[in-house]
Amino acid sequence: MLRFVLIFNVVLLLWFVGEAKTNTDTIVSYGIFLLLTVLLGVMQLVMSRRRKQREDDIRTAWDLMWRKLRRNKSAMAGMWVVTALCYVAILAPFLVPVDPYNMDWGAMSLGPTAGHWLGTDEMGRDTLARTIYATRVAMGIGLLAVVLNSLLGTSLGLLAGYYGGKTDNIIMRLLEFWNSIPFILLAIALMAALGSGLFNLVLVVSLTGILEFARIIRGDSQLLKKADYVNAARVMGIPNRQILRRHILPNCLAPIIVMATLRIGETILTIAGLSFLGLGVQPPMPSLGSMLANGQQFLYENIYMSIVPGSVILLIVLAFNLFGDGLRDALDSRITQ
Amino acid sequence: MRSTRALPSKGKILSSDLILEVKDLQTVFITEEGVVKGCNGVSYSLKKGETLAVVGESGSGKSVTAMSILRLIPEPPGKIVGGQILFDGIDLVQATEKQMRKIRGNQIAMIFQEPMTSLNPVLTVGRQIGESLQLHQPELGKAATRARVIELLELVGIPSAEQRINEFPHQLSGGMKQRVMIAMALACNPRVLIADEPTSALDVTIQAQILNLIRKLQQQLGMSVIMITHDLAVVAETADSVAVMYGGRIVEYGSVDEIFHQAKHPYLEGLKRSMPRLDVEEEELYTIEGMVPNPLKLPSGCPFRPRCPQVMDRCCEEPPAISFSETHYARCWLYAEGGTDA
Repeated sequence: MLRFVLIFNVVLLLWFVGEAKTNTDTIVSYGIFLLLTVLLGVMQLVMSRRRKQREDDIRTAWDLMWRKLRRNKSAMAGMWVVTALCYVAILAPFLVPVDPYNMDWGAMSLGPTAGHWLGTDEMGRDTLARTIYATRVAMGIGLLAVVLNSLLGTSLGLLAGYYGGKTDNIIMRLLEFWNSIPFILLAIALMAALGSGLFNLVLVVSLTGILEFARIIRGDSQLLKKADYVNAARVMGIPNRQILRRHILPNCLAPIIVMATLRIGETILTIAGLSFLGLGVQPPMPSLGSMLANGQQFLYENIYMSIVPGSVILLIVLAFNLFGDGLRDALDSRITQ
Repeated sequence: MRSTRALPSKGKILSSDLILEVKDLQTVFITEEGVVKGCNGVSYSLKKGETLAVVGESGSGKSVTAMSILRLIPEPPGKIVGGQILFDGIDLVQATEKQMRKIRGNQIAMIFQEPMTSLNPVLTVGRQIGESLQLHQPELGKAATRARVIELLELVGIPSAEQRINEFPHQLSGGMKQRVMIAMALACNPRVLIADEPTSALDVTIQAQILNLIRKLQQQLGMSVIMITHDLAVVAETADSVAVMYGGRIVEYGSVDEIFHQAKHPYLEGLKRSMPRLDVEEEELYTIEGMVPNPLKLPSGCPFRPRCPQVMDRCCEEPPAISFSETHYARCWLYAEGGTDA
């Protein structure tokens, strides 16, 4: 399957090569896509080499997981939508029919037409182009925030669970204290203090919700530190840091992946909410939340302005949730049969 | 077979060959219900090339003693409150954590009871064995480490080691895993190997293989072994000397012949009688009456007192260690001056 994706990517790469010179936006996008394709190629190479090495048909845990995931139809649907969204996000500059910032004074607040497939907003900007760019922004911020979030949450949870005692108490009490501040209040305060920029937005979103991450990983590392193989490692004289890195962290990977996947959808929703309130992505940069807020004023004149970004939010969150739930079922050995 | 193997080493052993000496070790666990004396004044010594078997029921303090030697008692609630563990001129009770890390795995290694869960499921066999090698002998390069791992796998009798090195634990059988565990323990040529019930979780046929392997490697590498077990058959098979533990202390200590042919302590006699035998027709297996005492409420004096068939009034007092030979003693009032009162 990876091979088809690879071929598809190469075709896209060749197709867009001509357009990739016009401005920095397209060059950056092209570069990222090229990097991704190369990464996939390396992955394919490693996997096929490994498969050759193991001629006997012994399956690894990942093979089993993949098989279980494939049987789950809704999870697969979610996965395909997520994949498609990733493509849209990365290749946005090549996909938009017109510049999303371009105001067409002759075509303001239109429904779907031949020139603007999903209509235009009150300033004559193409809704489709803006939605594609908004998806790109949402996915980018969502992914970045979740990466930061899971890094922080995982490391704090690992430390709290492994060392226990005082360390555990300090970390968990501080996180609980942090978590007790209402999110919207915190977001408003932070955005007011730090100023509204994309980076600050990522920071605000990634700093909230560390607690849930840390709690789950803490539980796992508490459990794993009593595992026989961790004991065995200790008997070998292996220092704590290495035990955490090589023995405990890799065994917590499944819940980390599941939680991170589920959180991406959630985070995108949060960002849309903040943007709706005017706290998130600032205009004129397109974002799903502010498009929705904007469309709300023109519900009677032009319903497409609200419906399109609204459905995209729904689609993104639904896809990530379905995929995440499927991953959980596939990775969680406790639910197995 | 036992005597042919045990005798030559016995002749050679001098007191200067002492490699590990545990003196009056006291380890306690402080719990909410009270203080549990996990090991209460345990002393034993291990000579070069010797196998010492530590025998006892679950909860008798066998493993606690071993974990104390490696200073891996979870702290809190555990704590070593007294005694000395002399290894190589260092008192391990006083050693710093840094010193201990250099000793663990490098000088004193340990294998566990459960090979099924003692290997990390996400690491390949090769990486797991290589881990302690790279830690203790960082001068070894990648290629040299790999070569050494293959050598170790071959040493413990794993066929086609070149391929096995890339396999994950779930691709191995129980016996194979225990062999990998042994290879891990032997990676740095330790001087003492602590085997904590290494065969309890294995099939009988595999048990014999693993015991033979440990014995063979011991002779080959000149290690000393502390064999922790509750199985007297394993003791007879492997040990030079035996320490019988009950209620956190050693109740009888002696060479393997003395333990099997001149058992003194009533507990040891009970243990030996409760071994199933094929040559004697028995209606029912012999069992020692009663249960292992609750470690929180150990009786005063001899901990075996409530279950002992030969209990006397004096047993409420701390029993003395009575020597029967240079190597043999038992902690029981039966053999004290005056013998049986009554």
